[in-house]
Amino acid sequence: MSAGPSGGDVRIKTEPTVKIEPGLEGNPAPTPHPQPVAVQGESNNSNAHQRAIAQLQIQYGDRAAASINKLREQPSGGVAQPHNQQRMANPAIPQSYPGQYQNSPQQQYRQTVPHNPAAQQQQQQQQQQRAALINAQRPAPSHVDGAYESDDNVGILVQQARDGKTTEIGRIEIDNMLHAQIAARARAMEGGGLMLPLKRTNKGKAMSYHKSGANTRPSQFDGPDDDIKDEEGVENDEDAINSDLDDPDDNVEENEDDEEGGQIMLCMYDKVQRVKNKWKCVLKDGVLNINGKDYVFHKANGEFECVAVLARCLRPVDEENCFQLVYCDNGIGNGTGKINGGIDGVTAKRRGEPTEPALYWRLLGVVDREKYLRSGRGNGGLVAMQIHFSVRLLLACGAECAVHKKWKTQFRNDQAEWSSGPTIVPECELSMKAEEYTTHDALDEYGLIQFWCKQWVKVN
Amino acid sequence: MATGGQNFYELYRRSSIGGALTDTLDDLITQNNIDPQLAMKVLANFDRAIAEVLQDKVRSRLTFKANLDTYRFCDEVWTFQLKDVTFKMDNGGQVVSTDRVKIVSCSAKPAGAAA
Repeated sequence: MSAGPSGGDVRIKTEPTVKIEPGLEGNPAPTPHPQPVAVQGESNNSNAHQRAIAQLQIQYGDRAAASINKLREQPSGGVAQPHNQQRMANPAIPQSYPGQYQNSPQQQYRQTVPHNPAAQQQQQQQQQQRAALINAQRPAPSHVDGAYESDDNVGILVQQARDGKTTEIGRIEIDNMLHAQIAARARAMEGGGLMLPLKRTNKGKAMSYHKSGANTRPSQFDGPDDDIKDEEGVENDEDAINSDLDDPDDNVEENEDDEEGGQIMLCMYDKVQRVKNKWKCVLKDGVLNINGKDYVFHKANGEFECVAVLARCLRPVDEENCFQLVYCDNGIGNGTGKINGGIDGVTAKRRGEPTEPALYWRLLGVVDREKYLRSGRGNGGLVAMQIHFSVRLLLACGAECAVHKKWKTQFRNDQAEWSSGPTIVPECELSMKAEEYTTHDALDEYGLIQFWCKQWVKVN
Repeated sequence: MATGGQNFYELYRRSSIGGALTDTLDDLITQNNIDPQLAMKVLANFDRAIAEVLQDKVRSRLTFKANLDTYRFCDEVWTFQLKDVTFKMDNGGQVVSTDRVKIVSCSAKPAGAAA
């Protein structure tokens, strides 16, 4: 017990547990389930006592050691007593340990919204899940005082319906509950929608990308848009920030040539080169299907230009020749900051500077031209790759761009000569590692950059 | 799959001839005429055959110009979406143009790169 409370204080700790549990644990409905501690029969007392101890252990871990000891000393049946006593004695300071809550955010949360049934239910679920996950062998918290518990259910999370029926909750449901919980919190924290994974925010695009890749080589992804369907409900928000970027027309356009199977060239490449926005490639052994006809070739030379004009959104930002880089922060960082307050995980000179990671750009809908994306870094440790992506993209679009000195170390390609001035960054090869993709879904980011570029061009 | 001496890209299964073959095999399987395993073998054979034919038998060349819409390089596969493409065939200077083409291109380098 780091807080070092006296024995009398220790009893206080039992209070939130004992007092709140019945209301929280029994029922989703506000009306508490009949699980009164005091009503328990004599024969039940010792069991309940043990469970109360276990519960304390689960909830507070080591910090509850003193409480538990205390409880163990007490004769069974005495559980309810300190609780009442305490309530009378210390009505104003029932939970007064800052230390206690540091490590127990749930508890804290519970206190701030004690009368919200929905929140209580969430809390209940979360607590159940937590307990079940932490120690499957212990009874779930909901059983601590419950009249319906049976020892057969040890180790399985059981949900109690309003009518008292118990249902076992499987792992998947638990996962879903957890997920819903986290999503709800994220939304609350972020003002809704900002923390949606990028993968989902432009799902059509992502889909087409998956498709084209998957047919040729084993994909790094688990599969196309795994959870999109599940999440549909979450993001069907008209006011969602990204809604205007999810333009379905774009996706239709993208998918067209995939669907009809025509207008496609399948081949090998010998060389793909790019200078600024001019591309040259040497292809061989190809089959080309256009306008309903098949052509085969042994060798083909292609030249094309990237027509996107991303450079238009690259205006010098400020002093120091600090050019902008555009990259996507996929939001895996904590994203705790307010939009204009400098976002955690973004390299700004100081917090409070108007740094705008890609998420913010999305928020702006790329319409507000006074705001631009300053280069930033995610805290996923993949800065280099992200910046690589950006640089390559910008160069491909004929934009001049540079990388600020301070990011030099972030790059893995040391051959490139970086400078702080507005010089052209030499070609840098991406090191594309499979694990980077799988952990960070960078490919989707990449797709998104392109997507945004197009949007930008459109807007202009 | 990647090349690996005996393995060949499955890339060309997306071509019209590959698609026709796949559809046919599909029909045969659904009519219980052949085993799915056999179909896989046939397709693997196709992968090899078309790669060899394109490499050894085909001599034609072409050049093309286009606007690049999107590009992607992942897993050693380049994907381009081109707009306003003009193809010039070497034999007879035939010109074909189209407004959209997608290129999917695997590395010509032997399996060493992948392995």
